[in-house]
Amino acid sequence: MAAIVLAGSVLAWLMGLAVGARLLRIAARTHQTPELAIGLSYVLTAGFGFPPLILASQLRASQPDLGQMLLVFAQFPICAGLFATSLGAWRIFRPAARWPGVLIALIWGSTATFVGRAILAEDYLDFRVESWNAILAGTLGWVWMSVESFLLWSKLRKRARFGLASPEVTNRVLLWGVSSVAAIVSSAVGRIQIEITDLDVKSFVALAHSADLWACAIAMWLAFFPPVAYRRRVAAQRNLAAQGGT
Amino acid sequence: MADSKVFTRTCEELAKLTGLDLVAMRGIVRLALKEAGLHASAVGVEQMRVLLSRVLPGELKACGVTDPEGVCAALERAVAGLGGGGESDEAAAAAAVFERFGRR
Repeated sequence: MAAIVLAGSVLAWLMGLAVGARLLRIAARTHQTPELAIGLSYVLTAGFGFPPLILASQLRASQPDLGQMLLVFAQFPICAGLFATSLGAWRIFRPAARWPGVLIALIWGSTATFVGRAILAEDYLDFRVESWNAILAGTLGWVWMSVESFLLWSKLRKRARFGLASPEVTNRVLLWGVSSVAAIVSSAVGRIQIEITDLDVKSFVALAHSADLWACAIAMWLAFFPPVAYRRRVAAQRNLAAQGGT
Repeated sequence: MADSKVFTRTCEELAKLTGLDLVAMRGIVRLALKEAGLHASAVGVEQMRVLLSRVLPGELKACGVTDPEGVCAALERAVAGLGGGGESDEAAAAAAVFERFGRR
């Protein structure tokens, strides 16, 4: 079971890194903020945040000092990544609105306070990683992202029936929403996992966390690196729309 | 948010061509827009043309309009001349971002 749990984390790490690198490559060509923000979000959160988290989960029992240090260290790129996520949500879904600026300022303020406290902590072993305001603020970015994704998907699904939206893009938005929900669950379950001391419960939660990470990785894989059979299936919907089918 | 020029013009012309009340016509067109995932404030020319060819004939027929296809076809040509519209369509802008996300 430990191998399955570890595989979920490693898979999500690799997929996050692959998607982030791809989006940053696109951003280098387009010079647009959404791909830059989301690319950075994945590279920071998954690429730099996940490895110390995975290592910490493996080392906490045998080397608690090192495990705790890695856990604290992982929060820096994760907090920066979560900030980039909310910035991306703003630039993708509400570029003309001003109110998301206030929301992002709250998220940034909360995560920056947490990071500042971690830096200034005299002894990292005494520092509590489970800072609920940072968790809430960080998760808020993904909640916002998922709500906006599903709202957009609902509109595009209707438009696609009349040939007014691409079925491929509509499907990508749906998968994006699914992976965003998985990210929220992962964030919440990951934090709960740290708190739990009962080993049986901890194993169960770890398994649930791993299943969620698998779901997140699969949704991202289908959204960004779809296999031929999946692309054919989505293209069939396009043909149906072009023929006037509903 | 104000209704788009395309929406306003379409409703006015449809009300003239069908003899139906303008307020009622605005309601009918809004319902058709909703069915297609569009909004009165952001609908553009191309989107309205699709609506006129594929959604509105059925809605007008349900309201007892005779020759709804003919009415919509005539209006499609008039709407085509309006140009522009749909600039404030946030859903289309967001979809364009997701289209870029899929590039290699």
